[in-house]
Amino acid sequence: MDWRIICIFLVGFSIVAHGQEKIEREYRVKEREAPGEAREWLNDAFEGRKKVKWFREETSGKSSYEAKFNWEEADYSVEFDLSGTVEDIEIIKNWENLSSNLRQNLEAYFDKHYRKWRLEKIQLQYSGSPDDLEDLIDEDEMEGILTRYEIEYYGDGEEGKNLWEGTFDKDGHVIDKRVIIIPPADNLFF
Amino acid sequence: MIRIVWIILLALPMELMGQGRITNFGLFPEFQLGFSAAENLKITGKIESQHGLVDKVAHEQADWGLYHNQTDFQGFIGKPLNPFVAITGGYQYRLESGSEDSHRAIQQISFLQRKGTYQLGHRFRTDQTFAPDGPVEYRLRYQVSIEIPIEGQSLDPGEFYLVLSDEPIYSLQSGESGLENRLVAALGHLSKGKQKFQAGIDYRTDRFFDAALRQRTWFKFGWYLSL
Repeated sequence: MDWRIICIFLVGFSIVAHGQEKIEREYRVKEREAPGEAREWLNDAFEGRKKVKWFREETSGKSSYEAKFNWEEADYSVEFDLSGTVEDIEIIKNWENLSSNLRQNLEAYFDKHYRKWRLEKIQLQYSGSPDDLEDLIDEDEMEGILTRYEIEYYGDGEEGKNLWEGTFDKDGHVIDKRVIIIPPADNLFF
Repeated sequence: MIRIVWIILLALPMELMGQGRITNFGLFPEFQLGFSAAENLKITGKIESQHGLVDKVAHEQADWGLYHNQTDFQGFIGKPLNPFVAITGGYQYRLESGSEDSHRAIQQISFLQRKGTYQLGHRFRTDQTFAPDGPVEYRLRYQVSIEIPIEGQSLDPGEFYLVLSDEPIYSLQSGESGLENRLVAALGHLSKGKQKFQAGIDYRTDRFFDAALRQRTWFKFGWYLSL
């Protein structure tokens, strides 16, 4: 009985391992693996920044590199395409740091659509050409910059109780949203 | 990193045996299948089986030999209150070598906390065990687990993770109290298709109120499948 049960588990493991398909993921890479153009852009735009963690991201067939670091007491994430061209800059924000107009609009949206809601993560997102993004960091120049907010939140509304990722414009009006699928955590509870 | 984790996990039971404190070491495979039966109803089935490899009493020779200790068949019906909280009821049928088969009723509430780069699981559980050869045993359990991705800032399919958990268990049977602790350290892999594989050490200590403390160490490996 003993070995038969163990064999069933081992055979099951190997069948499933062979059945794995293409995956979507984010994983750490060494700095030298990131495109030279991306590293150069980061050095020019964020002069004097400290340690950078580099990641490779593969999502829905699209690959990119992401640099994560702390800059002037805020957490930054800068995304580059595979050739090293910068695509956007994201900065983690606290609710208290948002303007009162933005907070009012966001609150109005959440109150209207959800009985209960709770913010999990707020990211300010800047996108534009590499030169415009560099000017934004160096000179606070907003020309050519598109400002959006990516907000992760829990919402209990007509569409059920879900964790959402919503994209909002600079004034807090919703652009789109999607349900975040939480990876299975049954291994922690049974 | 993954190599270092494996070395630590595999060296732990040897270290315990070296100290002459181990009473039991064995294999502990488990398989779990979970799926949604309705919009707000989740069914989970689980089989777990303990197979001893060596028994050793302090200062005596180790007794080697593979034997079946017990196999549990469990079924649960859970109701998620939201993506983070679920209440669950379950039943377990146990085949135990040298004892009569037993039945167990299980009730639990679980909480998932997402903390940026890692997630915490809290499980409060009560159970009642019914065996023909003894009075009902009541237990109260709390388990805290932490799951930490190794390769990125979040756990994505195709990546490895570490999971650590601890669970103190208080038991009451015929007016006598017991205490047990279960510490688990494992390396896991999240694969595509909502499945996880885990392998690690499950270290259990009990009989704290008796003269001799009992320690059981299992090499636990599991396959957790969500449909």
